[in-house]
Amino acid sequence: MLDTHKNKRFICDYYSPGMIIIKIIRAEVPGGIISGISMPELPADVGIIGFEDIPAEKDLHVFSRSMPLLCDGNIKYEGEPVLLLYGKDEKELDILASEIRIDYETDYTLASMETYTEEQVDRELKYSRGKPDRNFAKAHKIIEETYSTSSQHHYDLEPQGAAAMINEAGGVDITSATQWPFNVRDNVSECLGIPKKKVNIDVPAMGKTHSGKLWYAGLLACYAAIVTWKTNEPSFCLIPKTDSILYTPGRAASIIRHKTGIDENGKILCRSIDISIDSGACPMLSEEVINRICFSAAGVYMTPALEITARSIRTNNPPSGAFNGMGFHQSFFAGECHANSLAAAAGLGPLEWRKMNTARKHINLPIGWESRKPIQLDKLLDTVAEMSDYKRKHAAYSLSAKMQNDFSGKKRGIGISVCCQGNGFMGKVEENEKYTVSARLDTDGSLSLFTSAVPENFQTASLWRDIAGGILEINPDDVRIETVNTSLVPDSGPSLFSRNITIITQLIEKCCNAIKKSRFRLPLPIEVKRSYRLPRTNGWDPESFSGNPFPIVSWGAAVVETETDPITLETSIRGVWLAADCGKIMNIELAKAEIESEIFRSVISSTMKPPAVKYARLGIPLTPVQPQNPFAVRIEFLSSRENKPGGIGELPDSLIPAALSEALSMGLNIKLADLPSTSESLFRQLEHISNTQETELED
Amino acid sequence: MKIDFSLNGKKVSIDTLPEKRLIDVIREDFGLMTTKNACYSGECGSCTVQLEGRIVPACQIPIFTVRAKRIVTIEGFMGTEKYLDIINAFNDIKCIPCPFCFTGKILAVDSLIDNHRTPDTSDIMALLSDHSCSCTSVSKFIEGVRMAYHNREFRGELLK
Repeated sequence: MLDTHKNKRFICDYYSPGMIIIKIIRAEVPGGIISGISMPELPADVGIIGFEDIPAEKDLHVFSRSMPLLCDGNIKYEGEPVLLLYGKDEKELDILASEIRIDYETDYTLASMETYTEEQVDRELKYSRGKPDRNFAKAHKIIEETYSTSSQHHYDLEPQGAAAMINEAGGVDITSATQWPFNVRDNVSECLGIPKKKVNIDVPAMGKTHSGKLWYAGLLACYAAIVTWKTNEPSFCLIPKTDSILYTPGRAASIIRHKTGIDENGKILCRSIDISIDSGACPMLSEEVINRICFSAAGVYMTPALEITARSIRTNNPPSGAFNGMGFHQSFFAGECHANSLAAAAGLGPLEWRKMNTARKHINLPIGWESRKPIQLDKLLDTVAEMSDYKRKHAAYSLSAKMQNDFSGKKRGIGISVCCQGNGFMGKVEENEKYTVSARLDTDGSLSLFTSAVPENFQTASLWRDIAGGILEINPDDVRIETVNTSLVPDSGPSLFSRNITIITQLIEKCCNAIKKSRFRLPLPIEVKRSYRLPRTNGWDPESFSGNPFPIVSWGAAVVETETDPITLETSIRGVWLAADCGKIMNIELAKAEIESEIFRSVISSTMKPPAVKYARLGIPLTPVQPQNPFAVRIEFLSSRENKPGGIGELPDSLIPAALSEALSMGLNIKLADLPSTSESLFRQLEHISNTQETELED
Repeated sequence: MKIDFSLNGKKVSIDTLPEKRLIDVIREDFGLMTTKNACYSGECGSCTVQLEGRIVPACQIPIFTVRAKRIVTIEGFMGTEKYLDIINAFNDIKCIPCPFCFTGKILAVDSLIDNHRTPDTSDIMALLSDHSCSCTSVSKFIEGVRMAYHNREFRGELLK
């Protein structure tokens, strides 16, 4: 039944009068050294906690990376938590917080990503295949371009927070809105210096997270745990929405330089790609992002010779984190926009050029990965082109775009893109991890599923119930997904939408099939457990760029059609068409709905200004709005040769930005190279063209 | 300051600071926690309530302004036939917004279908633009609103 909101307690509902409230006092400068802190006189029931007061481990750990729970004296980014002020009266805390003064020596700042120094490079990967220098020498044309993408926030509606209380075992019970409860448990246990078994993490109801609550939730849980540990009283930490948008981990900004040599026919001969990503002050997941960005940098095109240099750079920005695609978004935006320039240089249409250069079945991707299943990129491109009437529209709009000085009527454009999506983590970060799901068929015929994977949405939970019900031939309503609590469920790893669909769904299937086999031989209840471990052999090796990076890869192509007023630069989307090959589709309706909602999100984030502290201080709204005008969305799934379910949710974020940028560029006869494509960036491009034309006329 | 108003059909009275936000009164003083609060700036739509039949963001309403007014929250709306029109419609088409934002959206949908003879797509898009959670398929949501309208029309409620 749909009443999913009934009797749901979200993290913001866990506050009750009498609990200790925690206020985070943040750094007000992007970099520097704390030279002094002046405090007002604190009442007896108010306390303060700094870095040195943390009982045991002072860092938060995510895989092999760490960051200080509170500022250790060196400010790394504006908004970095410095102190925890706690008490029971929120208004009193607000007044006291405003009276705390932190003094800084502000000569310690890092350069930006554009002007970084070698000391700022956190990790660098280099890959080379073939003989790029020789191929560049014999190339018919060489095209060089630079693309940039800005940081993006998840804009998950629900606030981030945690609540803590002392439990009967003398440890702590934490309620944490997290996608990764066992990571929260481990961090809380380490920061308090108590055994893991004394820490219990309970996950409340959550709204859609968009991967925004992957590891940052652990930080807030540690704050609540530390305060409760010190005071022996229940505590509650909820961060304001503006703080969440400004300071919690978002998508890493990037600058990607492409240099490509093509032959007389437009075929790629060689590519050189230089990538910089802004990992922010604390590069927690940048290893994964850099691996994925390298994997997808050259797109899905055959490339005889290739060199890639990718680096993550420490800056004074808030830490970047997990976001749909974790690197695929940035590299496909740059790669697909560049593909359009290559097509133009070759005198071919974008569709024609793509079909000529895309990887054929069983041929390796440029990065050296060999697909085990046939790749249907040609078919995807044909499908999406036919759905959208791409060829006719492209010809018509190209002709119209040539009339540059015609300001009568709106300018239409159309863009196409193609991409892939890897599901799960690909780096070595997870190689020692083991993820488990268990299921129990009870005497009343009902099934209970035990997993710490938090369903990203109601659809995923519904899918799991349907699959389990289908295998065991029971009513899906009799399938219960047990509350996520670390003392009751096994560790199923971090919950990402694509991971839930691929790894967790398969584990649920395996559990149910095992129960099915033994249900008439063994007495009820029957409980089985199935685990997944990344393959030790033939796993992805980021040093040699070889092996199998993902359990399954999904593929997609999209077309976006836009209409822009050449005077006001107001833009609307006329339609989005998307074709996907993403393995076995469990429920087409749900899959389409998921992709459609991600398409809308992607359109919003591709056209919305990134949040900035200056906007927040001016009181300018930071939350996104839905497009005012609806647009047609059509989605098709190709029948796949893959019999496992693949992820779908990240495809729109890899496809839409480049196709949208191309459509806008085509309509106004400009070349957009930055994301987001705001009306301001359209104006800057038009201004640049106008200045160039004036200079040419003067000359 | 003592303020009397109607909350979910019952006359209530509260002695509080006049500038206290309606959302805080609803959640803290009356314990109606299903009405959510996320942004505190009237942008996200999660704290939507009905004030004299109009939808408003409760985080932007100082409590003194609701004196003698009628407030309906999702708790008061649940269980009514109007609520079932909407829930059944979304259930039938398997459109499932996230539980955090849906409470606000339900009240907004109710207000929309009560005030429009036939809500067109732009009306529904305008509604969605006031609710910044992009958790669900827009076309499914539009379909859900239309079906809710038909459910209510079928019951004869709209003719009254």
